[in-house]
Amino acid sequence: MIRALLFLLQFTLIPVAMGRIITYKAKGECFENGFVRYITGLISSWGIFYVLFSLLEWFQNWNTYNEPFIGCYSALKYSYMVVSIAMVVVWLILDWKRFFGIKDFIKTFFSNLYKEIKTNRFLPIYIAFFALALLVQSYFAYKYEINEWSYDDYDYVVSSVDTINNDILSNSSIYTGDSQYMQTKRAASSWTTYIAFISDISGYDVTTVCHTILPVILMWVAYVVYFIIAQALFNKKEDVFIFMTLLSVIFIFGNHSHYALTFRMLCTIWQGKAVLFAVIVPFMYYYFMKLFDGEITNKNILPTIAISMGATSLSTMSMMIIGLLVGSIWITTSIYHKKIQSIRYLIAGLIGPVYQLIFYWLICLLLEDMQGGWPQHFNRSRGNSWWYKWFG
Amino acid sequence: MVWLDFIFEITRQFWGDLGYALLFVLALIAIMMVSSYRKKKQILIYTIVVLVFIYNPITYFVCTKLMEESTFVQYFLRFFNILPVFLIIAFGLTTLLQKAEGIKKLVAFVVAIAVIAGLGNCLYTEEWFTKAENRNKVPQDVVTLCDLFADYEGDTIRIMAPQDVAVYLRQMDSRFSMPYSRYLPDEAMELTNWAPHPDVVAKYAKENDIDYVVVSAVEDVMNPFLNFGFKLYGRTPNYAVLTPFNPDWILTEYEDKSGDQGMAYTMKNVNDGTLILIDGGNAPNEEQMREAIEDNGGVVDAWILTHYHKDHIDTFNAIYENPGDIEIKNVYVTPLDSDTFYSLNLQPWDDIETFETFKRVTENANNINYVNRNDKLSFSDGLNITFFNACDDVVINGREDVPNNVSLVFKMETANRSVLICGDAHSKYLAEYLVDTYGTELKSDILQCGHHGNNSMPIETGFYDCVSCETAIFDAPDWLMTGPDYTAGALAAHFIESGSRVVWFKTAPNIFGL
Repeated sequence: MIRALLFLLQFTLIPVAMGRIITYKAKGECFENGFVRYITGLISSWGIFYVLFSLLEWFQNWNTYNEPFIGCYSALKYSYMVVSIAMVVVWLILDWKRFFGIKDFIKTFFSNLYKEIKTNRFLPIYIAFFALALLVQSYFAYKYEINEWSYDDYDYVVSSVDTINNDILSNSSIYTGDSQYMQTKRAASSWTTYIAFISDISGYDVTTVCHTILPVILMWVAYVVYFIIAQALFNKKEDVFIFMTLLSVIFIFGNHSHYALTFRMLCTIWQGKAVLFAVIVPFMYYYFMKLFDGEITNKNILPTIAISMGATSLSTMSMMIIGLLVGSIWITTSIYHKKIQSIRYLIAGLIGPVYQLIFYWLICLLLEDMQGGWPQHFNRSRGNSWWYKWFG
Repeated sequence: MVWLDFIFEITRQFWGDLGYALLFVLALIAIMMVSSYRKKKQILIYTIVVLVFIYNPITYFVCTKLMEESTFVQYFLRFFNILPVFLIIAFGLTTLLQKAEGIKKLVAFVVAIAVIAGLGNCLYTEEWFTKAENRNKVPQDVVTLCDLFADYEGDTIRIMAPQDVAVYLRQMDSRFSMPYSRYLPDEAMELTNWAPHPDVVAKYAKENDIDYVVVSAVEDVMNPFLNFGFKLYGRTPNYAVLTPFNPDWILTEYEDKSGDQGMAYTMKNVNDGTLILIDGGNAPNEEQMREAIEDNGGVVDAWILTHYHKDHIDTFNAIYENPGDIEIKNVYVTPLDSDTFYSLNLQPWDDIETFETFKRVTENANNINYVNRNDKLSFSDGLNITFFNACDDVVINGREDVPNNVSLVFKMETANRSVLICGDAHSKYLAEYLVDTYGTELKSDILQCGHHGNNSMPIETGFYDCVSCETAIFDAPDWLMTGPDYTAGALAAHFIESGSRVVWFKTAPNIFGL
């Protein structure tokens, strides 16, 4: 029960706290929306995890010589837990009064909804349609499976399982489980390690987390993003729920090809690239449109960087997709406003892809060194390592 | 024009039957024409920016330089996913519905859902999307397989499995270690092959230090592995976990190419190439046996002939008379001389001509060895052969079907396994004699049933209880196994009831490790 709670905290309290802290000084219409702060917090939590991951991944590989360097996964797990707890404590201190204000937020949300229902007798019908569609999708996400084997599925799940069992970050062969088989594309993104982390703290099998629990939770997260967008597009609640219902039906019937978003959203949303396309891309589209349209202020840089980092943590493909997305939105808003938009926001949005690109490049160079390539790119040796000097 | 072909191809691949592409375009038009959304132009501009990015030759040529060739198309197709297609369709349709009010809006809403459903393809009706058997959402067989190893104490389980199992095993238990990756070696195909080659898998398992092998539990697939000497570790409804067996000797039973019953075996030492032949079958089997000998280097170290019927030695006679490149070092036969032979109450099926040919072609040979009861032969890697029957007073005085009952009955055994060869010995008195004289010495893992299993040694003699074999070999074609005039089928049923496996020409060549 406690472990299940620890799992749920990763999608509730921690994103709420992180979202609040990261957007604490941010200015803009979108940051006033509780759902936006929540999603910002969730993606940021992945971003913080990614930064810790990349530091420890580098440290691990820097100190790997003839035998595996064990313990960096545990170090990541505990350091992230410390950071999370610290963020929650800081949030409680900063936002003590607003913490209890959540009751008012919920009360206001439902009382407004109730008022609209009273004035519009069709609204409950549209809400019921959406609730039904969401229920159906949740049921299928929880109970159904793709009954064909997939190499991606194997790669992702086994990477997570090995991370826990070997206590090594992205440096195990997914076929034999032996250490010192680095896949650079796995080493440069932290999503499989994040799945390992939430499986580990909750005690659920990685397969259960990936195939059964995350598909439901992440689908709801995706619908929160779509709800945010719906609220931005429509003023009337009725239209919001019509939009949400039509969107959910489109997802169910949108299997026009293997590359359609339906497959990623309803079947494999636990995979990093699926989260990227089903959650991150629509959210960043909304976020950056709002950002470029709003006031230019340095106070929005932190959440922008945090979102960019979290988005790139999902997959090595993120550096390409996020870069393209941010760039496209910047071009779009520049054309729309007929003037060059904020370079600051553009750079902040590209921090994640650039960070990943550099990290990927460095990891590739380090891997060449680890494999005995000559000349060595880095001046590293067991004798020079402070770790080995202190701890043997 | 490579680029244009590519553009058409990825467009087709992404949009499928174009139903949703049409909806997307209509939705964009609806948004532009009807929507009151203040920044609707941004949506159009963004869409154009993304489409220009995808549909231009510069992107294509840059990507061909940057991306791996094998994954280029699938990565390129992912660019479409930065286009919020579904959001725009939902936005466009909702925009249109905003023009109606009340019940009309509700009806239009239902129609919109019907249009979406009509133009689309429902995920939940796909054949590959089915209800899961467990919360791990891996095949139940995999869960059961993992349970079989729950008490396994080692840190690593080297396992070889069919791909549809292999991709799940390490998801459930990281102690499993695979010898191969995404691309399966040919040897792995044998695990589900309907006519598997267990020797190929055994060799691969030895070379790759495999502890366990997972094979299909369908009898046609699993039994050849068990017959070969693999041991059953555990099983699920669809798969069997076996421990591999690495024999020094391999015994092979061949089908008789004449279409009749016949007996032809090779016994080969996989380490030093020593080759022993047992009989050889009817004359039409000659080519098959020549190939078998030549495949093994052309040297026969020992050729054991059980008795002198044509379905056993006509091939031998032909090869011995005209050996070509084949060298036969030693021949071991039952000591039936001509005087005794002609004094018997010979029947038309006793093949006088075959006997005479044998005598003729071996007349001046110096490598013909006559074997007596209780003689022993030894070969490399601990293979011992003990003869329990040969032509002597026991058989001659029995006076019942002497030409068949003079068959050499012998046990070949290594430290691992054993096989009892009965030739055509089959009479009740002989079975009782063997049981009384040799008793538990007859115990063997594999039994070659005397007289092709037809009118063979009677069950009530207790002969089969003494042998207590895992596998019974019938040197018989289908018609003899299933024909109403023959008793082979009944004997096979007895073995199956007793828990033994039965093989005959249907699955030949049948191979057994020793």
